[in-house]
Amino acid sequence: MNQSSLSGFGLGLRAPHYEAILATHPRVEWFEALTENYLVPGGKPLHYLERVRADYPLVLHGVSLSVGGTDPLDADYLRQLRALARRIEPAWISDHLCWTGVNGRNLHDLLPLPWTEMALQHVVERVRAVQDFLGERILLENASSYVTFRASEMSEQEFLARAAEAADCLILLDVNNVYVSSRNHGFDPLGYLDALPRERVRQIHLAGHTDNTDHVIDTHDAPVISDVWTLYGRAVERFGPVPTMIERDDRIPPLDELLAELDTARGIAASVLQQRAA
Amino acid sequence: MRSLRALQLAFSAAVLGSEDRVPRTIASPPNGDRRGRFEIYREGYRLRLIDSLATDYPATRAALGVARFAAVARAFVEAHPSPYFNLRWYGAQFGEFLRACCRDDEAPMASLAAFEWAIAGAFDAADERPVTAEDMGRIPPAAWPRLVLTLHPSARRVQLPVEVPRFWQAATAGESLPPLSAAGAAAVSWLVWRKDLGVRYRQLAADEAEALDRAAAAATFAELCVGLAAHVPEAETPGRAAGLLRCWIEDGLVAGLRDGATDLFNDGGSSRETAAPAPSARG
Repeated sequence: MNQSSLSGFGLGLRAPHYEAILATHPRVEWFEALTENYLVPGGKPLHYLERVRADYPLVLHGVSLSVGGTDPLDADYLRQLRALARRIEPAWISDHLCWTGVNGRNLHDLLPLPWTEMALQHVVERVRAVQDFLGERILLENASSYVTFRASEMSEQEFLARAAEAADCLILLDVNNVYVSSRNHGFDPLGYLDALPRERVRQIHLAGHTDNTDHVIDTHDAPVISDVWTLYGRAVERFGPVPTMIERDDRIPPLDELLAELDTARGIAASVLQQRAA
Repeated sequence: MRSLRALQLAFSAAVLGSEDRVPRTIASPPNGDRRGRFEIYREGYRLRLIDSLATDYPATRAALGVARFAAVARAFVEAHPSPYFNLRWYGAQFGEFLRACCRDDEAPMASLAAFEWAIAGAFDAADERPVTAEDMGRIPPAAWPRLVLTLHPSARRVQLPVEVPRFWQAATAGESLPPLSAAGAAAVSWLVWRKDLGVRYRQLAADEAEALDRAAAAATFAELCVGLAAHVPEAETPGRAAGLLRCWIEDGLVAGLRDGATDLFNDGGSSRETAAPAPSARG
C-alpha cells in the first residue's frame, strides 16, 4: 500500500450507487469503503467492492477498532480487517478516536473519551499495536461527540495531535465533526484546526448533520451546510490539497447529486489553493 | 487504565440500563443539560439496533406494522446486548425472540423472520465455484457410489408454511400484502440459496429435502439412493437420484465432490476468512 498515492476528491461507497458507478464511471478520484460492510464471507458486497476497486483507488474506513476501549483489541476483527486489506489493497485504513463498547458488549457507537494523560497513553499503545499488526500507519479520525467528561485534562485537539505524534499515526480530519463538536461543547473550530500537525492530516471528511439548536447531531443525512464549507476552506488553507470526500449514510440521494456536492468541495479547494499560491 | 475502564463500564451500564441515569463522570454542557446530552447516546443505541433489525427483517416489519415492529424490536434490544462488532450478525436471535414473545395472532412472524434470516445468510455466504455438468461427466462410473457432495455455503433448509415466502415476495417487492393466517398453516420444506449473486428459494418435495439433509451430513451418493428408496419404488431410485443431482448442479448447489479423501473438483474456491445487507456502519 502506498500511503502517498491518493489525491483529489472521493465519495463514500454506498450500495445504492454500485450500479451507477460501474455504468457511468463518474469523475471521482477514489472511493472510501466502510470496512464492516465488507467483512462478510462473500456475495454481492465483496463482488461490487472488487469491481469498483478495479476502476478506482479505495480507502477502508472502519468503526469497530475501539482504539480507546479497555477490552483487549479484537483479534478476530483485526485479522478480518487485514485479510480484507490484503485482498483489495486500499491506499490506507482509517478508524476513529473513540471507544465502542466494554465488557464484551458493543454499543455500536463512536463513544467519547476523557481527554486525560492516562487515556492518551492507552490510545497510543493501542494504535501502535494495531499499526504493528497491520504493518502500516493508520489514520485516526476525530469523532463527533455530545458529552465531555469532568476528568478531561486537555482539549480533544491536543489529545488527537499528541496521540498522532506519539503513536506515529496519521489523521483523518472530519471537518463536519469539528463543527458539530464545537457547537456541542462551545469551542473554537479554527483553534481545533490550528492545533493539529499539518503533515499528519492525510484525509478530510465532509458531511451533513441535524441542527437541534442547542445541540447538533452528526447524522450524515443531508448536504454539507454553509458553515462547514467555510470551515473546510480554512482547513484547505492550513493543510493544503488533502484528499477530501463526502459521506452520506441516510437519505442517500442519486449519485449525481453527491457528485455535484463534491464539485463544491473541488471549487472551494481550488479557490483557496489559488489564493494561497498568489 | 483502571479509571478509564471504570468510566467506560459506568457509561455502558447507563446506556444499556432501563433506568434513565446519567453517569457522574459527564460534565455539564454549555447548552442544554447533561441528561439531554446523554440521552443522545442512550436512545441512539436503541434506534441504531432497531434500524439494523428493520434492515434484516423488512417483511416481518411489514407484517407486524411499523409501530408494533418497533416495540418488539425495542424489547429485543433491551434483552439482547450486542456481543458482535458487526451489526450484520445482531439479528441472529430475533426469530426465536418473536416465537417466544409474539401474541397468538402473530404466530407466523417467527417463521417469516426465520425465512428472512435465511435470505440474509444466503446473500453474503461464502463464494464457491459450483461443480458443473462438464465436471460431472469426467467422474469414472466406479467412483459414483462413494461420492460425497459438498453443498454450496449459501444453501439453507427451512420449514415454513407456503404463505410465508409468498408474503415475503410481496412485501419486498412493494406489492399488496397477501394474508398471513394466524391459524398456523402446515410447514413444508424450502431451500434458500444463492446462484451467482442472486438469492433464490424453492419448495422441496419430501424426498429431495431428506436427500439434501443427508448430503449436508456428508452421506455418499449410494447412501442418498438408499434414503430415496423410502420415497420411491426401488427400481426408480437411481433415476430419481440422478434427476435430483442434475437439478442441484443446474442450480449451482454443489460446490464440491469428494471421493474418499480426494476432492475431485473443488479447488478451495474463494472462501473468505470472514461474514447481507450490512447496515449502518457510519464514520
